[in-house]
Formats: sequence, C-alpha cells, structure tokens
Amino acid sequence: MSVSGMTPSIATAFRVLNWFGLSYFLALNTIYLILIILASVNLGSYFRRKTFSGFEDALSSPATLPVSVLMPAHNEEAGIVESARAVLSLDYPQMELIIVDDGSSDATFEKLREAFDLVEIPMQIPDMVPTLGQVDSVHIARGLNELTVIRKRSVGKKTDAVNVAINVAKYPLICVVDADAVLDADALIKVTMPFFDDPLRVVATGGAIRPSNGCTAYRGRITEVRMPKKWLAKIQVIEYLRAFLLGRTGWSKLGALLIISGAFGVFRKDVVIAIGGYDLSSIGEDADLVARIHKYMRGLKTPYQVTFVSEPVCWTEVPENLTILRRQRKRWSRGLVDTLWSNKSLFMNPKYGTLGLLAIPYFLFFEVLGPIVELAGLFFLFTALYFGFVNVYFAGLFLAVAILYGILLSILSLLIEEISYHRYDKWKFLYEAVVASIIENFGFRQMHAYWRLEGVVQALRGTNRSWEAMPRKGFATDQSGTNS
Amino acid sequence: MRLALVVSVFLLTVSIFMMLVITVIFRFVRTKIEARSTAYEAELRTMLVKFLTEDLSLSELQVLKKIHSSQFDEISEAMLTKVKGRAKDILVSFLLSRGTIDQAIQRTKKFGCLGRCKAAVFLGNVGISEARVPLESMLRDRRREVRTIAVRCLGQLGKPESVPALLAAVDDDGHPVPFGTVLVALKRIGSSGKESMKAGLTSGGGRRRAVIAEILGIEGSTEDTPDLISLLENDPSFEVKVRSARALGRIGSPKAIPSLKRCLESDQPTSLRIVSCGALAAIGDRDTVPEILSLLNDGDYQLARAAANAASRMGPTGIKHLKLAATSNFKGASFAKEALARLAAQAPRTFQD
Repeated sequence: MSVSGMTPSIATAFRVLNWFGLSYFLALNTIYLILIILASVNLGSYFRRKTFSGFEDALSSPATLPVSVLMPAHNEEAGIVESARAVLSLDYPQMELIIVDDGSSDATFEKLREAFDLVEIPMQIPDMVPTLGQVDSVHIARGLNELTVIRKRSVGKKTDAVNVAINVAKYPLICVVDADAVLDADALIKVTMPFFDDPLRVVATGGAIRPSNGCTAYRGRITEVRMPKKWLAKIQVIEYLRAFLLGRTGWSKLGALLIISGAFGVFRKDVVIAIGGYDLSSIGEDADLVARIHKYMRGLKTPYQVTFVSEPVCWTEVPENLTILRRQRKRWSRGLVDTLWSNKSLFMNPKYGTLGLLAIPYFLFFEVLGPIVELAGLFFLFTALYFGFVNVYFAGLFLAVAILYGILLSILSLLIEEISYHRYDKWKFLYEAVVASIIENFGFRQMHAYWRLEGVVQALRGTNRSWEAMPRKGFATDQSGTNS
Repeated sequence: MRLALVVSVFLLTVSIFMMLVITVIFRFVRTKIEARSTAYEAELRTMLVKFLTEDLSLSELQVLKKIHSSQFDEISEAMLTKVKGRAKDILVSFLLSRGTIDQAIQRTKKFGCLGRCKAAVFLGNVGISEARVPLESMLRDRRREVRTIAVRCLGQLGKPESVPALLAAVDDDGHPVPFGTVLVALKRIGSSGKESMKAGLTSGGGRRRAVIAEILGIEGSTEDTPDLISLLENDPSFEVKVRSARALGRIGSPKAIPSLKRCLESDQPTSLRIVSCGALAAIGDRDTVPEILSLLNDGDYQLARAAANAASRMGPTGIKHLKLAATSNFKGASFAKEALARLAAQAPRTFQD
C-alpha cells in the first residue's frame, strides 16, 4: 500500500501515538524500577536484621496471637491431604485449620476423611459475615482438635467458602491459604511476626508466593527448590519474582499495599468481620478485601499497617498450559477492574494517602489500561511501518528500547534474588532464569496483554463470575518426593 | 530523537550485560567464599571446642594466628548460645581477655542502629552482670528495634534487678516496646523477679499491670491469688482484668471462684466473660458448672460456645450437665451437642472402634 493517499497530519498522528506508546511503556517500567529499588532497600534491611528477628520469642510468648488457617477447596483431591498436613505441622504455638470443601465433585472430602479419620459433629454456625451456600455438615478429625472440615454446597464463589470459614474460626487472626499451597515450616510465624511486634497497628500481612512446579516435596514440605520443566512456568517464576515479590515489597514500603494474595494472607478477624468479610459479588476478592480494610481503618482514624513480608514463602502450582493460564489471567484482570470500580472512592483521594494517590492510579493507568496501550502501541507501530510513516530502523529502535527495559527489570530482579534469597542455587537454574527473562518479552508478554484485555472487556460486560478451580497435578508422596 | 533512542538502546544493553556479569560474579564469589569459610570455620570451631573442653590451653590457642581473624570472633560469639556451665565460663573469660566484651559495651552507643543491635545481642548471649546497665540504657534508644532487642537480651541475662526497668519500658509511651517481647523476657527472668513485679502493681499504667498479671499466672502460686483477685475486681483497665482472670485460672486457687463468677454476669464485657468461663473450667470446681452452662443461652455465639467447651473440660459433672442441656429445649442445646461431639471425637479409641 502506498502512503500517497495519506495526509501528513495522519502521519504525524501516527508518530505522536507511537511516541505516546513508548513514553507510556517507559513510565510503566520506570515505576517498576523504582518499586524494585525500594524493595531491594527493604530486603537489605531485612536480611541484616534476620539473625536477631526474634522468631523464637514469638514461638514461646504467651502474647502470640493464635491463628485460624482457612483453606477453601474445590476439586482439590490431588493435593488436599498434603496441604492439610503441611499446615497442621507448621511451627506455630496455637492454631487451627478449617477446610471448606465447596461442593467438590471429586474425592476431595473422601481423601480428607480417610487421611484424618473425620467424624461429623453438630455445629451451629453464626452469621458474623454473610454467606450464600448451605452448609451440609461439619467434621473434625478424631484425636486432632485442630482440624475442622466443612462441607457446603457451592455457589461458584470462593469468597463464600472463605466467609463460612471466617464464621467458624475461633482465633483472633485468620490466615487464608489456597488448597494447593505448600507453606514453608516457618512461614506462618514469619508472616504473623508484624502482629507480634505491633499488635495494635498491624491489621493485615501477606507473604510471598512462588511457583512450586518442578520443586521436590516430601510430606507437604518443599525439600528442593528447582526451576519448572516447562518454559511457560519458568517465565512465571520470573514474573512472580518481579511483580509479586519485589513489586509488593516496594508497595508495602510505600505504605500502599493493595493486594495481599488470596493464596497466603493473614488478617485480624475483628477487622474482617467489621467490614462484612469477603464481598460475595467480588471477583478480585483479595484486592477488594485489602482495599476495604484500608477504607475502614482510615475511617476509624487510627494508625494501622498493611504489610508485605517477603521471607515467608507459600509455594503454589502455576499453570503449565496456555488455556489455563489465559483463564487465570483473565480472571485476575476482571478482578482488578471489579476491585477498582467497587473502591472508586479511593482514586486520587488524599484521605487515603499513598494508596489513593499512588497505588490506585497506578493500578488503573498501568495495570488496567496497560494492555490496551501496549496492544494499541504495537498496532500503531506496525501500521506506521506498513504505511511508511516510520522506517524499519526507527521502529526497531522503538521496540528495542521497550523490550530491553523489560529485560533489564527481570535481570535486576534476578540479581536481587541472587543476593538475597538465593533460592535457585544451581547454575543451570540461573541460566534458565536468564533465558526466561529474555524470551518472556517475545510472545508471552504480548499474549498476556491480550488476555488481560479480554479480562477487562469481560469485566465491563459483567460476564463469567464463577470460581474456576485450576486443575492441579499435586505433589507425589513417595519417598523420593518428586513433584511429578 | 533517533540519537536518543540509539543511546537508550546502548545504555540498556550495557546495563543488562553488567547486571548479568554482576549476577554471575556474585554467585561465583559466594560459592567460593562459602566453600572456603565452611572449611575454615570447621577448623576454628574444632580448636575452640578443644579449648572449651580444656584439651587446648590458652597459651596454645594464642599461638595460632587464626584466632586473630574476625571469623574467630564470630564463631566465639555463635558458640556462646550453644555452651553452658564451665565451658561458657571459660569462653566468657576468654572473650573478656580479648577485650571483645568491652568493645561490645562501647558499641551499644554506636551511631549505627545495626551495630547497637549486634552489640546488645552479644551482651545478652554473654550473660554477665556488667551487661545489665548498658542494656537497660538501651531501653530508651531512639530506635524501636534496638529497644526490642535490649528487652530480649535483658530476658536472656535473667537478672531480677532488670525487672523495674522492663516494667517501666512497657509503660513508656515515648519509647514503646512490644508487649509480647517484655512478657517473654519477664518469663525468662522467672520467679526470682516476682517480688519486684508485685512491687510494680502499685504504680505505673495499665500495660504494666497487664504484664504482671500475665506473668503471675505463669510463674505465680496460690499466694499471688489475692493480688490477682484485687486486679480482677478493682482495676480500671479491661486488659488487666482479662489477663488477671486468665492468670487466676492458671493458678487454679478456689479462692478466685467468687470473683470469677461475678465476671460471668451479663453486665461484663464479652471477652472477660469468655476468659472467666475458661478460668473457672481450669479451676474445675463442679459447683460452678450450672453457672457456666447458664451462658449457653446467651445471645453471644462465642460466649455460648466457650461455655459449652468449658463445661466439657470439667469432668463427669460437666459432661452430665452438658448431656442434660443437649437434650433440653434450651436455645443453646446445639452448643452442648457440639461440645459433647468434640469430646467424643477426642477420646481415645477403644478396641471395638
């Protein structure tokens, strides 16, 4: 096609759009860079103090608050028993585990009953927070007072299962954990440490989530950390490191943490009850809960803290095929839009400090609108190239800057991981992580932007709000303990 | 513009390359250092253990060049937490002779927060009386983490003379310290500090009395019951009352029963009623079962559940009353049924099962 038909003003418009796209991308990555730098400062301080952090005090103190661990489960037969065992053997002075079997059609409950010798008990469940699905039965483990299993009818919402568990929980702290999660032995004591240090101010804490694919496990504990076998999962290792570990540490340092992962977060029960528990109509339940906690606490005008603790690790299986990953990312994207819309009063509201003025605008402009700008930018760049408004060399430079900045952030995250946690200790894993950091920019990133865009569109159309459980492989329980 | 893009591409490429090089070098150096220091530490630790078990004399130890390395100091400090008795005495005198302890006392006034923390930890591990005063002065440090570590280390030191300073720290709003850490420290000091603690009951704020009540519950005996009853009945602080009720349950003196029964009344806060219920169950007087079970009909779910659980822990009398409640038309019959079912599930299985 020739450019003769195009007016110079259209050509200029294309160029302006391309520059806007590039500037937007640079701004996004610069924010990430700032967050990563803040996180590295925080991690440095944490590691220097680790030897005298006082976990032993918390383990032996009568002032350590007991925790109710809440585990909603829907068709989780592959790993539910291992997850339950792992939670029950955590290093913590006083805790209980409440598993809510949310209408599983597989053998989730049967596996639990067999493993823990469950017996049914009559129980009157209060309605401190709203629930929808009818509770069919409550069971406790024979000889093990710390385990309660609730069978309920599913209404297709994870939040409903968690709310039932909140109503049953007897301790002042609640820890929500995914059924496929595997926690490090000291994860719970580490994530609740801020409550021990400052019980009056800390209202919520979140721990780090890392992909468990490829790792070896034995009796519900990760015994050897390895990179996943599939490249899609390897890319997610880098993504979790950059966005979830360092990104959230950075936001926490700014006092504007909006997301505590639904896979591993601890909350003060009285605060959660005061805000009505999880919103049953919400899709992005984790972010929505944190946003409402912020609103509630600001309303009380008392000092409070919502903190991210980067050391305690919750290992979770990440999708290894595109279909499931797409479904997961669409749901995350829908959830974010839903949360931002439900909590729109926070947007640019100075009353909410850095959360209202920085975090919420960031999530709106860069996380929700990001995929639109990214895909539109690519479209305009290639269109401009096609019509000859920019030459190949110039377009190449444009793309190179955008891609190289992305790679720089991933490699920087890897360097920080290397200096701090050093979880992937084999040279082969380092090599694979570097390669994954590079190849994620060629195809995966663009695909991810498209899925997020799909999620935004779905959220705007208000479709598909049910709990979609991800098929799990689970951990093998043989002596070698390899995650097959 | 084109130049700016070219420069950006160049800078980004160089930065990525540099990051990769740093990552690789860092890993390589770390691997080497770790391997070397593991071997080196093993050798030094063996020497130190020989010295502590008196298989190696001080003069023989001092001849070795390696003991002048900073790594040797680190190993000695780490060893402090692992040895006791005579071996610890030898190690402490050795560190005194090297001037390490004096240096640590000096470091408690260092500008850097991390240095002060490390000095405090070291002094806590050494456990000598001379460390008490510098550690107590650190309770008013400008940094919360230093104060917290000082509290912990005073607990490790275990001197009853530190009790007044620790109690004052709990009340100090200008220099707050974590309540739980003070509790652990006082628990470590143990019954030797009880008199100083009881003296603190007459002065100071609510947090101080709450700490004392909690510790008396752990370390106390029946002779402390009147003090705790007085706190339960007269203290203006709700937290003190709750902790006193719990402490009375732990001590288990029947003298506390009338006061605890009064706390079950409906005009009392729910948390206090729940804790008093548990305390009465812990004392285990069967005459209190009817009062406890009357709470089954209370409108508060948590209180009714706590009452049923408390009764289930009160032996045959409690179970008998629970069974009666479970078959009655009580509003709270469901709580009695739940408590009985829980009890049955926790009972040891018989052969027939």
